[in-house]
Amino acid sequence: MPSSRTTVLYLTGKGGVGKTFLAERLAAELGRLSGRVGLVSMPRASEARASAEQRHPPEIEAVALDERAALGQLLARVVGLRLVADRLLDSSTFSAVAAAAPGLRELVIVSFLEELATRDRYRFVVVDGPATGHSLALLTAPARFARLAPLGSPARRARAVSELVSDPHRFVISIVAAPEELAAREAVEGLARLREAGIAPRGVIVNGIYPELATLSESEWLASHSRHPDVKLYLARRARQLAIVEGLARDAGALEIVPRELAGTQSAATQLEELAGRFVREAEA
Amino acid sequence: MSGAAPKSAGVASLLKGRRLVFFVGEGGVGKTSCAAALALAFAARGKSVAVLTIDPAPRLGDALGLEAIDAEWRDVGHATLIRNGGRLAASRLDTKSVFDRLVTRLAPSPNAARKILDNPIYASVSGQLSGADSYMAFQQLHDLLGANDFDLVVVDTPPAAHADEILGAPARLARLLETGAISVIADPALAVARAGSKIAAFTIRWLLKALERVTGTTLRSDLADFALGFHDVVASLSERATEVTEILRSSETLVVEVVRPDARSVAVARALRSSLEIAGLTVGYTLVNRHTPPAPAEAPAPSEDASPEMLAAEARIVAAITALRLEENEAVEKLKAMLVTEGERDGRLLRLTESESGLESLDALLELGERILDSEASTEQA
Repeated sequence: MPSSRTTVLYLTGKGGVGKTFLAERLAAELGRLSGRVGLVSMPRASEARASAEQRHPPEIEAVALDERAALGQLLARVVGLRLVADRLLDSSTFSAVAAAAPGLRELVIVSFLEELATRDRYRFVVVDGPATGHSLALLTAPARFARLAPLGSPARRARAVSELVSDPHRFVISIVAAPEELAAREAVEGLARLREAGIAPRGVIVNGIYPELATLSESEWLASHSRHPDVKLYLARRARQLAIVEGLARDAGALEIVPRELAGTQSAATQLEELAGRFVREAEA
Repeated sequence: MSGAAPKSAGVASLLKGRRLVFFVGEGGVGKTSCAAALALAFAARGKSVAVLTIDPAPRLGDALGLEAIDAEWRDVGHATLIRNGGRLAASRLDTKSVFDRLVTRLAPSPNAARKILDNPIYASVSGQLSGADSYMAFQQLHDLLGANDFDLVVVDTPPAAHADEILGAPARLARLLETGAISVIADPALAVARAGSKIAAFTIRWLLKALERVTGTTLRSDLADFALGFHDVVASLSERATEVTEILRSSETLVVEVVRPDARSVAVARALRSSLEIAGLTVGYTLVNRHTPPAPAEAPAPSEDASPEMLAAEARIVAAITALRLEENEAVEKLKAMLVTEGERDGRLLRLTESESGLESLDALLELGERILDSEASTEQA
């Protein structure tokens, strides 16, 4: 296996759809299949804390994004001196400008990702990204920058980042959606907005659909004959989810489905394994 | 199932002496629906209530008569409400238009207001300032509480997993003013003195130039204009936000956190709760929303004509729903344990069963609101 390339797998989508769950599980599968994997959580304070308590298998390295440190790196590159960069970081004027200036935060974060991707330390870098709107601002910042700043090392850097983000082989973006009305609508909008921005998303991963526990004919029979309220409940919820998935397939095209993990069912683990396998094959193609 | 669960008091008993109910929680937990339902049910008891929603799902928006995206207030008409002499005014937050209106009102002159509104920095700040939604919700809240037209104001907030997402934007803007950063941008010569070295000044200038390219604006001169015209406006915006924050911290406000009954959502809720605590806001009530309905007291006998395959499929499904309930109960137990360790008394947590028919009508919304207000009317799960 060629070790000279890192593939970034960037997950975005509405809050609460299970991005963190998918990122962690996919990272584990990818680690098993292809070696070392970096797992990056974007700064969403509480969720980061919630998952930090989890232990990862040895091939997974959790990479925390320290925005201040990342800004320091970017500054050091611009001014050439780490010491000056550090002093700048300590200046309250500078931090106020940095906190309020539109676009800076995005540039800092995305160049941090690029750095990870070129370090050759990982076969995959899985990014548990922020919601679609914020991700869009994040991913388009370097392209705008590179287009407009023709000279200098920061510009070269922005160009490299922009190239990475727009290369669908090295930078794979999937939108995660829950089988719910609002999340599905946001996923479709997200796809369109990414494409408008010149970024080709891989597709949508629907997370959390109830697993298929009865065949179609069994479901039909049970829906009209079963006296158990739980059976009606399950079938009604699954039917509603399937209708949303159907609508998504119409509007979004390629879909992948990861069922909800429920005790006694196997399908979630199987689907995650298969999904990771597809990511590996695509990355090596 | 172990014994009877402690009786859960509804929100109604906690509303005495409150002017404001502040809903918080992450995305997808049903915050907006719960806020609207509570407001509707309280109005149906003859009160005058205002509810500010952030981004209602299309059908909820329709039910409230908020089809259009604007900041207009609309009176919600419902038979019970009218019969009991109550009133419910509903609005959805439109960040940009609230900001525009405030600038027009707070700027020293109409001319100054126009200069601000036309400034590209303003467009960027008003639309993209992170937390702008919360910020503008605060501003609208200030007007609502100031006018004193309502017995109760119910507010939905944007999805948040950390207090900073709700309360941070005003502080950031205020900090920008306090440090004089805007004047430094306007006159980079100042940066030499402030940032401590020529290289630092150079860097700030480089950065601004780079950002001009990223944002496509002429950042520096625009910022200078912006700083001159906007300073007064931002100062009074900050003042208003501070006043609202004070009310949020006071006993006039009931903070309600909405959470889903799963382990992840509970972990997020716990972190949000403690970050709010640090900011001086205490969550006074927790709604565990979208619970799976309780199991039937007695499992019904299978159909006589069921084949072995059908029976097996039925058993698989029942087992899955049972597992789901177990997961949910475990998550809620964790949540309850947390409430106890924080010294809260029982009865400040209510489980709401997911409505299988959805909340497409005002009647369904009212029914949910009644359950939130007065849980005795609902069946609490053991």
